[in-house]
Amino acid sequence: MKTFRWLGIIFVAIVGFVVYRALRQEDTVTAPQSNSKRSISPDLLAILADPGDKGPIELVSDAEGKEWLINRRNGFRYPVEDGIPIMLLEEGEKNKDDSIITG
Amino acid sequence: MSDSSINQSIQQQFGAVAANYTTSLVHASGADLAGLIAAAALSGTERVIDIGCGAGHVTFGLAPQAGELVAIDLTDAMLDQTRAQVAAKGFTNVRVESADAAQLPYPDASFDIAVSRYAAHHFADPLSCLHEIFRVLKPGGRWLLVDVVSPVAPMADTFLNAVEILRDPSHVRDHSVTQWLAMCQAAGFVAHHDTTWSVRLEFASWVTRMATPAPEVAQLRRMLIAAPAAVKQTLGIEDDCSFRIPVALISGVVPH
Repeated sequence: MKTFRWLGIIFVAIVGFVVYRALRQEDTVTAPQSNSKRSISPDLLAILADPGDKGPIELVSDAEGKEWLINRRNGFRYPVEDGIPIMLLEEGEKNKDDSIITG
Repeated sequence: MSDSSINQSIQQQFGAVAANYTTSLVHASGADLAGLIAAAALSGTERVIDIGCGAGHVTFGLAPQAGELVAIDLTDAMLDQTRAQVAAKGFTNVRVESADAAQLPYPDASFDIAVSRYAAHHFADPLSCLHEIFRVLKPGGRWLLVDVVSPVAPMADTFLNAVEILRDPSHVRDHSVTQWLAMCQAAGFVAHHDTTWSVRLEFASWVTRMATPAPEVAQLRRMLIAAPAAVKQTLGIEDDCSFRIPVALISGVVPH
């Protein structure tokens, strides 16, 4: 019985680590290497703000290559659909991810 | 209705009929569109925002003279239409974004000119929208509003808003020129009423464009035919139920 308990704990630890890595990956892919793959130009980003707190937002790609405009102050994430940023508060809140919040 | 349910109503209403607005003559042409473009008097360097761009007719008219233009709307299908046309026309200075006029996703003092045509009657809270527009404009920045306005006579005002909401459930209100001027001033603008045009709405295309259901179309006909004489005269209601709406250009300036 004890062996099974240890196997269970190890399994949970591995799953936890994989999930953690997947979440971290999402916001580490932030540096725009080549603009050709990016659908939003840096000029536009400079004048885009969060519709709620009006503060700066950041363009990131997730593991599937999908682009998001994220607010690290409250975790709101705004999707970019076919190159069109969806800058609606309810969308940002719906896709909220607390793990991207930084001090 | 709360603001978000009005927004959903707008998205539902216009999502289904977006393509009709690319071809609508009332929207794609007209003295008020030319008047708005002339009033903008762009010099080629301005950063412009088109609020409630719809199928993009104002955007296409202003883009050639704008430095940079951001077109926003709430309806995805409208944004797709506009974006496709932007690409087809080869405009590289236009960006299309989904945004709410009541919560603009831009920092203060981002734009030189804000324009909006045939959209403001959908604002659930017009004063909040005007405060947001004021906020994103630079000092000295200009706001050009073109929209259907209600007639001065209260009965014609009530009648026009009644037929509008029967045809389009996402309609909020056609305000009078006086109401718009007061709201613009309350938001901080130095506001002016520049022009009013009389725009004829051909009844059949007016209801077809919005895909108004048959029972509502029948009710609209009954209302327009039975309208009081004073209302018939003010709105120029014709035998086939076509009528005329006052469309005003109101301009505001952000004081330095």
